[in-house]
This record gives sequence, C-alpha cells and structure tokens, in this order.
Amino acid sequence: MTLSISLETRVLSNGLSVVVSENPAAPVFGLCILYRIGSRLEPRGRSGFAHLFEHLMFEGTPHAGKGVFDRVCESSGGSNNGQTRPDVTIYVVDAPSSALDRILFLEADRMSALAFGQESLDNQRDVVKEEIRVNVQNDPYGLFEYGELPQALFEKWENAHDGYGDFHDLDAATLGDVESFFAAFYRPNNAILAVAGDVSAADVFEKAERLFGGIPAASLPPRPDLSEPKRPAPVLLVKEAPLARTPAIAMAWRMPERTHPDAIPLLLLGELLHNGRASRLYSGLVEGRQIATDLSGGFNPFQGGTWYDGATLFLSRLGYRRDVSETTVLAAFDEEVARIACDGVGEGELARVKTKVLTDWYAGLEPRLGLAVEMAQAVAFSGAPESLLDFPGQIEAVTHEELRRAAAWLDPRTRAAIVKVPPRVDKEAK
Amino acid sequence: MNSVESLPPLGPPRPVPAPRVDRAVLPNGLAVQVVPYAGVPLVSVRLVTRGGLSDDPAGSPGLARLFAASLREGTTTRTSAVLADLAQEAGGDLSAGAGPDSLSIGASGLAARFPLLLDLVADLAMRPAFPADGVARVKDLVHEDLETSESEPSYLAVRAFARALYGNHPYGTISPTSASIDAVAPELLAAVAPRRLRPERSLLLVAGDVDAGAVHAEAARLFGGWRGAGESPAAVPVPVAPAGPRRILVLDRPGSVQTNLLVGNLGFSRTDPDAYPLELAMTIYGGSFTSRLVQNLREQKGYTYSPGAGASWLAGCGTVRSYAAVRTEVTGAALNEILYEMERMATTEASDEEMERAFRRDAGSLAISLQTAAGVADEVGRLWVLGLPPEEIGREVDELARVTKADVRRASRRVFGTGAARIVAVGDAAAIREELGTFGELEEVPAGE
Repeated sequence: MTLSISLETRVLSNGLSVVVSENPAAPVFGLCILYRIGSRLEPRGRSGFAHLFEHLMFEGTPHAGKGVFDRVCESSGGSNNGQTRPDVTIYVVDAPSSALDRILFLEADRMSALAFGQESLDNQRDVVKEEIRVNVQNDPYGLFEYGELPQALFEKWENAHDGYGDFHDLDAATLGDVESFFAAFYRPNNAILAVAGDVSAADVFEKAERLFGGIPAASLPPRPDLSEPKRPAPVLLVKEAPLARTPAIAMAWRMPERTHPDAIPLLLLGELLHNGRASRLYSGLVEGRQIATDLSGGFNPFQGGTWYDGATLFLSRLGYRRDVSETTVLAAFDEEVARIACDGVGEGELARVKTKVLTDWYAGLEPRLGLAVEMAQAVAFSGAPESLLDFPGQIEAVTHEELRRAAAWLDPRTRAAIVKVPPRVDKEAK
Repeated sequence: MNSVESLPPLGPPRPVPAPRVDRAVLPNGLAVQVVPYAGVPLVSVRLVTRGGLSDDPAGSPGLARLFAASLREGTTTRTSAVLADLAQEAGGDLSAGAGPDSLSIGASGLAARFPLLLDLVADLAMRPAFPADGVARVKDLVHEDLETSESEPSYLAVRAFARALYGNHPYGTISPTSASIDAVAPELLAAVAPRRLRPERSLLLVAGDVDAGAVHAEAARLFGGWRGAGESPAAVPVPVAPAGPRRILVLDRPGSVQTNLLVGNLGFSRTDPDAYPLELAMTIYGGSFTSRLVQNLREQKGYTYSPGAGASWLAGCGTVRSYAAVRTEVTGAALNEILYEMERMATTEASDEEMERAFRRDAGSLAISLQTAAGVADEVGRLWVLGLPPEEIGREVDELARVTKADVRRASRRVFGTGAARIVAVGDAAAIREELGTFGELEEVPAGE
C-alpha cells in the first residue's frame, strides 16, 4: 500500500503559508483556506459568532459584492462552502482547473477587506438561526452530541459552550464585533492556503505572492490553554426528547493533547469500537446483545485525525431499543471497553482494524479537496504538510499494549453522558 | 451578476475524459465492466441488479429493502461475523441495498485485495443463507429504523409525496410498513433470491487501481456458475400522472416549529430527448446555491436555510420536486414563492447568463464527481440501470453544450406547471391550514399515519 503525492510549501513574507500538491489526472482542483480561529476562541457573550462570521465572509468586499463569491464559483463550474470547527474555520472550493485564477483572486480579495452593512448582518443572523432550527431544534435528538454534550463534559467555557450559539448571543452581535473579529483573526499570518489537483505549484506560488502578498500581517491574540484534565466525577443527564420515537445516549470523555503518546492509540480504539460491522460495539451491542440499533463516534469526531488544540473529546453515540434501559446500555458499553483493557485485541483483529483505518484515510485523500483540507490542517497543527504522511506509520506502529492503555481512558468514573428519551406512551392502552 | 472589474477570466474549458471501460459478458449473461483508475491503492466493486423496490408485490411494501439487508446476514459458507471480518481484512465495507430500480451489493477496499472483495460479493449474490436469527435482527433494525424515520418530518414528507404523485404504482411506495416487516420470513427471502438476483439482469462493476485482465479472469471464475431460477420479474410499468387539479396534503405534526414543504410533478425518462435540457433547467431553477429558488427563499426572503429542487431519474419515470423546510409563520408565503418560480420556468426564457452558468456548473460537477474511482463506478452503474452505456459519460458535456434556451423552456413546460402539482406540507396544521387552503384542495391527516 503506497501513496505518492507531491507536496510543496512557501511562506510569504506576511506569514501566509501556501501548500500545493500537483495531480493532473483530472481537470479539477480542490482549494482550502484555513483560518486558525474556530468556535472555541469566539468572544464570551458571543457564542455562535465564529459560525455567524463564516456566513458573513460571503457577504461582500469592496471589489465583489454580496453573493459574488458563490456566483463566480458556480458559474465557473465549481462549488464552495465554509465550515466552522472548534479550532479552525475552513473555506473550501471544488472547481475545474480553468477557474483557478479567479478563485485565488476572490479569496485574496476577502482576506484583504470585508464591506457590508447592518442589513447583511441581520439577514445572515436569520439564516444562521434557521440553520439552527433545522439542524438542532427540529431534530428529534437536538444534535445533542454536538451542542449539549460538551457542556456536560468540559469545565472551560472555550471547550464547553455550544458553537452553534444561543439566539440571545447571536442577537447581541454588532458590526463592531465583526470588524474586530476580522482584524484579530482573519490575517495572512493566521491562515493557510492549500491547493491540490490539476495546477502547477510554481504558478500557484507566483499568483499567491501577487494576490495575497500585499495583505498586511498583524500581531495575533495570545492563544489560551485549552487543555483539561480528566473529569473528577461522572455525570449522567436524562432529558426528554418530545419528537423522538426511540431513545439515544451520547457519552464522552476528555482527551489529552494531540501529541500525547495515547492520542493515536485512542484514534485506533475509536475505530475498533465504532467502524463498521466488524466493530466491537456493532458485534457486541447491535448483533450480540441486540440492544443498540445504531452507533457512531470516535476520537476527536468534530475535527478528524489528531488535528486539535488543547483537549478534545472521545465520543460514543448509541441509539437503542425502547424496552432497554440506559443502565443496561452503559453496562454493556463498559463491558466491551473492559474486555479490551483486560484482554487486549487479537493479532488478526488489530491488523484488520489498522487496514480499515488506512483504507478510509486513503479514500479521504483521493478527492482533491480532501487532500487540500488535510494539507492545511497538517500545517495548522503541526507546522509542516509532510506530517500528514506520517499517519500510516503511526497507525502501523500501535501495539496491543498501547490499545489497552487507551481503553483505560474510557473510564466510567470520568464520563459525561446524556440520555434522550422519547415521551412515555402507555403501549397497552393504545 | 454583480460585475467584478478585475476578475480574471476563466481559462479554456478542459475536456472531461471519458473513462476507459473494459467490457465483457459472461455466458450466463452477467455484464462485467472494469474501469482501471490509478491514484490511490483502492478499488470499488459493485454488483447492480435491475429491479428493486418497484418489483415488490403490492402486499409486501419494502420487501426489497429487507431482502437486501438480509443478504449481509450470512451465506451458506460464511456467517455474518466472518463476512464482516473478511471485509475488514480487505480494508473494506460490504454492503447491500435496494433502490427503486435496483438491488446492489458493494464492496470496496484495498486494490491488492480485489479477489477477496469479488469473492465476498459473489458469495452474497449466489449463496445467501437467510439465517433465522439474522433475518430476525434485520427485521428488528428495520422496525426501529422505521420508527426513527417516522419521527423525522423530512421523511414523512417524502413518503407522502411519493404516494401523492404515483398513487398505487410501485414508485408510490418507498418503505416497508410495520405489518410488511412482520410478514417477512427466511423462506420467503430464500424464494425471492434466485428469482430477483439473476446474472442476465446484473452488472458487475470494478473500478480502481486494478488490472482489467486479472479482474475479468477472477470474475469469470467466481460468477461463471451463477444461475437465476423461476420467472423473471416484469419491467416496471410507466407511471401515469395523477388526475385532477392541484392538491395539498397536510400531515399534522402539532408543535412543529417549521413546515416541510414538497412541491412537484412527474418528470420523464433519462432517455427522453429533453433529458439534458431538463438537467440545465433544474440547475437554473433550484439545483445550486445561485439558483432562482435558493436566491429567492434563502438569500432574499430568509425563509429557510436549505431550499432546493431536483429531478430524480427512474427507469420508469422520475419526479421533479422542490423542497424547503420553512418557519411555520411563513409557510404560505414560501409556497407562494415556490409556485411563482415554477411558473416562471414554464413561461419565460432563461437569460444567457443563467444558461452559461448552468452549463459550466453541470459540466464542472461532472468533472468533479469523476475525480475518484468510486465516482466513476457510481455514474456507470446509475447509467446502466437507466438503460444507458458508459460511453454516455463522454457525451454528457457535448450534449449539455448543445442545449438552447428554447430547449430549456420546452422541457420546463413539461414539468413545472403548477395547475396539477402535488404539494405535501408536514407541520402544525392548526397554524398553516387556513393559509394553505387558499392554494387549492386541501386534505389533512395526522403525521403518524
């Protein structure tokens, strides 16, 4: 199993990192601009602001008015999006290679300056609220593993608060907030530009220098310490979910820093427990005990890989049968983890899980945009794009002993869990 | 479009290369297509069989779904657990599913392990065992899944919309019922298997970093002895558009903070001469962020976060539908805008700029979707089910380039008329019934039924 990709990097004098991977096999490219600002570092009293700001990046600049970015992108045959994660906000484009020049132009343009008024802010505030209504309030489970679980798990406001934000905080956001957020975080020395696909590295470097080189750097706000030790005590919250028909539980643990020796084993453990029908939880809880109906989760689920600052979480989310109690589900989960912690994992199973993890990783890098995002994250969190190529070696190197040690992190005594139960119905009376 | 003075021009469009497809047909009628595709050391294997949910008898809604899910539960030579371990050993997933027009068995993983992946797919297709405990588990899961789905308004809307448009035609049923799940038994599934899964109705598709000759040899060895039995299912009948004027079906979901709206009509077949004009029409209308519907409902009015529209291509006849999940208080206003945008498509011509944008958009999406082996396999399989050869991929961009404004308007006239449209609204009936009643004949039922 091999993967040979080209990786070339330049850092402009204003601090912008530019990374390129050439691949002429299909006439397309993927582009990612990553800013080192996510929902964890948004201002207090402004929960949801990083996400609202992501929407505002499409509202216009002095050169290109509201909606121009989307229109140009689509009229060129591409598509674009933005995503706010806990530690970074990424802006991504998938496009035919014929559109490279104009996409670079527009990305540089909106890194230079934004220009829009109160009306745009109000409009996007409504759009964001509607997104929250669709994804959270109208969802039978309220997306609880994303918004509510971190609040139960973490202590520090940065880690705990809901990145979607509450409506009160969103309403409080002003144009002044927008300006100061842009000035503080949307600077070239806080950004990475990654391009993968049917492009030439020399060409991208030359254009990046011309288009982005004049954007001034700024001194960046200090980064707070986002690490948190294991929870001192467990917590279990039971909440009624009026729109749900079947119960679900989401549980999480605080995880150590990304360079901790247990990080990669924990990532592998997440896959061993959750990934596919051969996974421990599927065979143990869905097939074996027949109590769970669906499952998902793993290490650092909201950012992927080991890309995060400070602490992250290990998540497990299980849908289960109505005639089963949460105590039974938790006990079964704990048994599965204890089995790994005590007995370890057989040679064949360990090899299979590693193969599966690496296959999924390769599959994620085949689309040009998937590679571009990975390149940008590698630079953001480790300083060098080449570090993404370390992943296969890191996975291959995980030992039985390390997996057992990783399993010890999933201790019931340091767990936070939320149960969502459907309203009680008297089945007999119906 | 707002002009940007210094915006660099687009480069010359680069052609989308037609994938190289290496084809053979085994003596038992199985079509084998191999698409060698280097890049990452992976391969996608899928076996696609014509006929899916549309083959289900009226008394057994959703049978194909239970059938497909049960294939994964074990073969006469391997248990479910052994299958899962072997799939994982190849770095892969093993899956089986049913769509309206097809059954599919898929496996993907490391290219070097393609013989094992082919072997697993052959095992499921040729030697399913339908063990009692496995079938019981599948039934439980489908039950639970159905219950979960029924708590989601978007699912309720889609299910009701299919019924409203297709009536008793097989496409009118998209899922099983509690009773039809209960009625499934291993013997029934075992009887269904050789009748529906037959080589002459199937395509084996292998795309990835593989040698075509080696794949063909292995496919002949593993699938050569495959035979169907019993009477082959009949082709799906062509659906007839529902009679009568516009109708609105309200599924009452008290307490909903929003209304899920679906609006649409029957479309037509993918082999219809207006298929490419309709593709562009959908992109202009609601198939992209810059489309009329999205700009209107999301950007100008702020009614909804994710409105859109799409044409589904089915072997019989698909649908053209618009969807939007909107705040309860703007339900009537949003429906008004949707109907307006539909009529505008049917009665006026698109602008040159919309045409150019839609063409670049559709050609670009195609290039983007074909950048991975799995993307190529998806497209080849989809075309095959609809009766088109893989060469169609190489023609798509040229066909789109030839479409004129008059073509788009003609195709739009066939699908965007609102006089006989079917409308489904899932939401709080007390809050929306009066307003919606002004748009046509309204019927109201509880969402749970």
